[in-house]
Amino acid sequence: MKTTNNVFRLFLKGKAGVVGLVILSAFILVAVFAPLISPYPPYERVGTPFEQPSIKHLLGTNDIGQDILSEIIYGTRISLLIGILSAGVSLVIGTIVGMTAGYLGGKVDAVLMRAVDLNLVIPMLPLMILLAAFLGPSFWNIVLVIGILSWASPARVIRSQVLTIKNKGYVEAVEVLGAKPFYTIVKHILPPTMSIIISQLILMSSRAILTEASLSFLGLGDPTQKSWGIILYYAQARSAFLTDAWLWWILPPGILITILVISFAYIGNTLEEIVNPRLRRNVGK
Amino acid sequence: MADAPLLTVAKVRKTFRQKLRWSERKLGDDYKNVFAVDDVSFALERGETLGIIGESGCGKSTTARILVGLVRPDSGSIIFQGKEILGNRASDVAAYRKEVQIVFQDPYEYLNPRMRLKDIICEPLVINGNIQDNRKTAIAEELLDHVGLNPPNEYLNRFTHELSGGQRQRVAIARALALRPKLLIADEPTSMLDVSVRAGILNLLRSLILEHRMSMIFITHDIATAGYMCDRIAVMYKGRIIEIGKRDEVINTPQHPYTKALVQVCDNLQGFISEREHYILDGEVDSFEQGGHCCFAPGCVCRDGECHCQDQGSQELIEVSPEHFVACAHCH
Amino acid sequence: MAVLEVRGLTTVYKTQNGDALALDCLDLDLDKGEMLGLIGESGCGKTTAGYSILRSIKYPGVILQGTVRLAGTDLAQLSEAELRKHLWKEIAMIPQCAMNALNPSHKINSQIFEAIEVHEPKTPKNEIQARIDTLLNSVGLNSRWKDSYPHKLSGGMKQRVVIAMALACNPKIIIADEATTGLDVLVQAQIMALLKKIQIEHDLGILLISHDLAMVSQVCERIGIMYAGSLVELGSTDRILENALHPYTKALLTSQVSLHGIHKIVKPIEGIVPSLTEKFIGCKFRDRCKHRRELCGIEMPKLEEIERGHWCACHFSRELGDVIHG
Repeated sequence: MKTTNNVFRLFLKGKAGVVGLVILSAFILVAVFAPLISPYPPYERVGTPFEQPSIKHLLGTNDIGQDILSEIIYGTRISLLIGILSAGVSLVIGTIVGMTAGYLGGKVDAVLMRAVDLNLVIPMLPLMILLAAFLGPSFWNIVLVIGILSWASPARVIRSQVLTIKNKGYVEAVEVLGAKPFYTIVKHILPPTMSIIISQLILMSSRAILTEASLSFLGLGDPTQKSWGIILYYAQARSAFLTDAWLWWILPPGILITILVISFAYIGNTLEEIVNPRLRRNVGK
Repeated sequence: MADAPLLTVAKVRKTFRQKLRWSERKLGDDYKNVFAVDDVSFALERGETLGIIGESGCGKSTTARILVGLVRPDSGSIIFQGKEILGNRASDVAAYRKEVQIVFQDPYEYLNPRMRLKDIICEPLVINGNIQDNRKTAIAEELLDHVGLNPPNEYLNRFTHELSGGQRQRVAIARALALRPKLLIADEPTSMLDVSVRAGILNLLRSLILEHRMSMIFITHDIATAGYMCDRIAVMYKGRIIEIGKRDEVINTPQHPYTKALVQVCDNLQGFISEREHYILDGEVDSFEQGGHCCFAPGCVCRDGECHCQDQGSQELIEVSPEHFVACAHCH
Repeated sequence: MAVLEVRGLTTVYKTQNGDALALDCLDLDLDKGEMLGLIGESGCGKTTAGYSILRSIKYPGVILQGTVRLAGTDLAQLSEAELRKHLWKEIAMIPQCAMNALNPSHKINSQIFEAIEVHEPKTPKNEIQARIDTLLNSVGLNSRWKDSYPHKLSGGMKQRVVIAMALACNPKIIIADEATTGLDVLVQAQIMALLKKIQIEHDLGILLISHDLAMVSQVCERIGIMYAGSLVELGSTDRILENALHPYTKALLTSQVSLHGIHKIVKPIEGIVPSLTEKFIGCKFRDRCKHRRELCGIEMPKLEEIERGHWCACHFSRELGDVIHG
């Protein structure tokens, strides 16, 4: 049996996971202590527009004279938050669908799994763009759009785990006692699935951060909440690509998105290798 | 006996659909029906222990699973304390489930490794909604003490992986007792345990039955264990009961050729080896078609034309002496 | 005369908590044409004993010391290649879960063929084929089964195939490790009958490793009882059943349900087997023993010949048993 302790020990053996964890912790610290770290308030004009990097403004200023470094530091908050929240939404849906399909089986399973297949074959980004444009740009709309459209792959993984646990003797033993399905799921099937849910949450977060950046870059993000995607959107809209400004206006948020996504992916993949029965042989024993 | 039996099982039948191998499939027919339990009937008195013995795959475990509601039979009836259980009255079924509990074969599989013993043992009460949180410890302690895990407070907060196989099986028994059932089903409770601890579990079950005036259905593949535990013994073969009767009669004067062979193997293996042609046809008999003859005929030493019968191939159970029934054409 | 002589065979398993002493100084003789039963509960080292005798134990199992003489040759002195030649030809194994020992993707015929060809490369092909037919017949299988894949066969039939393979190169000794575990009662009995038959026909020495004292005592001439890695009693079946000397053997006998004694109350052996990783001083059974005395905690009892051909490792076996002198 895998205890939490055991998972943790195996996790520390995988180097990628540890690297990811260190990077992610750094980002979280930056997000939490943004007001302390950032040199200026991000929504105030603290310089002249289009300033080049200087001691005063390490990454220059944007088109309306806001400090880009401060924007990026605060952007960490929004990007992380959107990523984790949308992953949360997709995992809530995915867990419910996966648990129901796996536990009840039969026709319910067949119907739900066809829905999952449908969800997996539809090209996601165009659909998201469409939906985001239709709902209008706001923080919560972005969270919902990403969440609602990306529950399929976690649902699938969770279902397969439920199928394994459902056939364990102790689940059967509880059924003999007259337990209702809800009780059995919450008490006996959810706990051993938790580690898989968490690894999925982390993987989905990285994807959500990337998706949010894409949507925002296309102008579908919430313009009042400065995420890294929004920064990129404004940079592009103000022709930063055509001047030297891309060096300090586009490159830093771009690199940060990449690093954050990679750190999530490292953690998520390592966790998944440990907890997903089908990948387990790759790590340890 | 004056009272109606506690449990009456009549003509219970269950077939499983088995997927055929590619080579055996016919067009449009990927499955064949396998009789897991075929026309099984018996009655169980209050306070009585019935042993069901048979080889693996003979349907003894499926019978147990039908009785606790894990498997739904295709047809038949189960009457418990005068009420039909296979009808759809949900309240009857719920009441029945509280009265009938099972101890499974594998104590490693059937206890949740993430739960503390206290919670495992009290779970039946939690599920059936009659326990307050503050009573849990007291009830669990009493039950642990009851199944011989002393001192109970040392075990309350342990996890199953800290226990030996025998101790786990005791926990499983404690859980089964929590609802004070009238019927306990023990599905090979000692076959996964080490020889030296088996006796402990057997004796525990015997004393609990007496103390709580429970009935028990004890499933095993070992006729000696059945003899030790049971008042009556039923022998199953290929899904059917082929012999049922009082323990001493089945063991001392077995009638069916299969039972005779079982008793001889257990009683005197040397004798069986030196004259096994008297008990069972030697070699491996595996190619047999269902239907048309007694299910034991392919391996039977006394088969002849009479063993062929019209319907599904079942010989009827015939009463050879009071309460001793045998399904063999040669035994009357 | 002994074909197989095991002396001081000691095997440990390397674990995180140190070495687990799975086999502690095993001394054992197996005579020609004799069936010797080795009994013990799970984890008592009986399987380890089987593999250690064959020197085919794999890491984390390590043989620390001991000699295994097979018809005079010390298996320990042989090189890998020479050892491999000896296995099958001199000594063969019927492994635990023999049903899984067959490769599911090859026909029965080719599996036996390969086994013979590897060990006797000079034998002509048609001779091998003829021998396979004879082998299958001698284990009670129709030779038409040889063109089947293992999954077509029932458990008992697979077991027969595995026995046929063990016999393929005419070994002098067969080690059967739980050869009938997991089979149905009647099939078990038939397999035991088969082992008995080949023992007599081929004048084979068979080491029968099992947990089932009742069954083994019916077919073996001698029995060895193992507990926590050590052989605690060894003697003729009759003497052990009549007059067990070691307290563990006695307890084991009274813990078994038998068909004769269904009215007798059986008694479990209280307590648990000590951990094999512990460094043990004294008798390993003492915590569960009713007769323990001070000496049991100080000195480990050695296997001694208490009466003729009846060995026991207990300080007080002379007092506890009804020993025949002379």
